[in-house]
Amino acid sequence: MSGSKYVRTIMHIDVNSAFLSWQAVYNLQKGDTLDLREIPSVVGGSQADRRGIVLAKSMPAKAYGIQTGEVLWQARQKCPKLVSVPANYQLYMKCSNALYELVKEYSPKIQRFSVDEMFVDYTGMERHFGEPVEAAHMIKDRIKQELGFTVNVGIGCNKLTAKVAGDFKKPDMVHTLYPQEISQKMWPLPVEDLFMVGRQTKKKLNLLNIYTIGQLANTDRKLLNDKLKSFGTVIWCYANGIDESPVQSGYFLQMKGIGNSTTIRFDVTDTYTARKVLLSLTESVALRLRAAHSCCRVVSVEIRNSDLENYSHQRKLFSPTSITNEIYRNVVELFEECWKGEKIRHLGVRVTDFCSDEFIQPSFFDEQDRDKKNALDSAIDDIRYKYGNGAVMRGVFLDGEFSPMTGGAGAEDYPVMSSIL
Amino acid sequence: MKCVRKPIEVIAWFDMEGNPAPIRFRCLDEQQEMAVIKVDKILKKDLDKFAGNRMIKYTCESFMQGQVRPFEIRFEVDTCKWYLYKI
Repeated sequence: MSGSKYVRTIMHIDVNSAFLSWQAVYNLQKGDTLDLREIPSVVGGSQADRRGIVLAKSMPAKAYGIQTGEVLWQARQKCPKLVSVPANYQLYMKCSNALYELVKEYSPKIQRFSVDEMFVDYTGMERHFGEPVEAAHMIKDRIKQELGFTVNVGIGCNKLTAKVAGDFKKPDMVHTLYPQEISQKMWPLPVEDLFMVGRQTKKKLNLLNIYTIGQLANTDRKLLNDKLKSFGTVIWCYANGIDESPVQSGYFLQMKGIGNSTTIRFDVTDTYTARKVLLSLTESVALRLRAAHSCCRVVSVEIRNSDLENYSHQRKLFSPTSITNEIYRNVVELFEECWKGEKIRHLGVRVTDFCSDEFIQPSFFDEQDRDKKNALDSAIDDIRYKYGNGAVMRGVFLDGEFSPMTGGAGAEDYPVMSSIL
Repeated sequence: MKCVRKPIEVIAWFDMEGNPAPIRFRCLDEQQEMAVIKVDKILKKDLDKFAGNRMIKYTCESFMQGQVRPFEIRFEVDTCKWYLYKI
C-alpha cells in the first residue's frame, strides 16, 4: 500500500443544475405535470426584495444564453417565456443529505465538497461493486431512479482529475480522466476550465501566451512561479494532473472567516437604518463565531451602493473578542469611517483571523466587565438555541422593519462553492 | 386513474415497527360534501425518495359508487400529511 504503485481511484459526483433539478423533482413528486428541466426556467431570488439574480438554470434556458449570476430582468429579455421559481434551501439540504446517504453505501470515505458535489474514495472497493466505471454507472442510475435527479460522475486517480472529468459533457454521464488520458482529454481545454483559474488568472496567463491547459502544463514551472508566486506552482501541478490531497471524510474545512451580508429591500440613505441592518448582521455573525468556539481579531464591513460598486473597510482589533456589542461597536466605527454617504443597496459584516476562545490575553485597554458580557452573550445564545432566534431580540427591532438576525439561508453547513480541494 | 393530489383526513393503523397503514379517509367529493371512504385493500406499498423527500405510496382499492375502484394515497413522512394522489 505504499510507494508509487499505490494508485487511488477517486470519483467526483456532481448534480446537474442542482438547485433547479431538485426543485423540478420536488414539484413532480408533488404532482406537477410540468418538468422545469424541460422548459426554459431558472431558480432566482425574489425581484420584489431586489434579490433577483439567476442562481441556477435549466438546459433549455442555457440555450438562450442565460448565465448563472445574471440579473433576472436581463434573463427575461433573452427569453420572455422564462419561468422563475424561488430558492428553497431547506429542500436543497434535504436532497444533498439523501444523496450522501445513498453514496455512503459505496464507500466509507466521502467528502462533501459543497452542497451538490462530493468526492468518493473508491480505492479498494472494486471487490464489492466492480470496476470504477461500472460502479459509477450503477451509482448514477440508482440516484436517477431513487432520487429522481441526474448526476455526472468523474473518475480519476486524484480529486483534481476526478473533478475535471466530472465537468466534461453533461448531463447524466460518466467520464474518466486517468493519467494516460490527460494529454488527450484535458490539455486541449481552454485554460479557464481548470480548477482555480478564474477570470483574473486567465488574463495573466493569456498575457504569457497561455490559452489551453496543455500550454500551461508545458510551460516552465519557474516562469509561472516567478509571475504568479506559489499559486503558479499550484496551477502548474493541476494542469499536469498532480494533486495529492486526501478525501477528507466528514467535513473538516478549517474556517478562516465568518460573514453575513444582505441586500436590503430599499436603498438605505441614513445612518440610523444602516446601523440597524449592521446590528442585525452582527448578531448572526457573532452567534456563529461563538458557536465555533472562536474569537476574532479582524472585523470588516462591506458596502455595495446603488451603482453596484463594492468597497470594504477592515480593522485589526487590539485583543480578540467574540462579544456582540464589542464587534458591533467596531462595525459602526468602520462603517462611519468608510461610508461616502451615497445610497446603500447591500451591507455585509465579516470577522476573520480566529483564535480559540479558551484562553485570551487581557490587556489594560480592554473594555470593562468582559466576563459579564461574555456571560450575557452565552445566556442569550442558549435561549436562542432552545427557543429559536426570535425568542430574545433587541428593542430597536420591535417595529418589525428588519429581522433581529439577518443573513444565512439555512445551507451554511456546506458552502455552495469552495476553492480548497 | 387521474392525478388529483388532495390533502385528506385519515385514520391509520401504525404497527409496532412504525409502519403506517391507512384504514379509512375522508375528503370533499365532487358535490363538495365530506365523503368517507374505507380502504378495502392495500395492493402495493412503496417508498418514494424523490428529491430526498420521503413519501410512502399506497396503491389501494375500495368499493365506492357501486364499483371497486383503484386509487393511490401518499403519506409525507416529514410533515405527517396524507394526500389522495390518484383516483
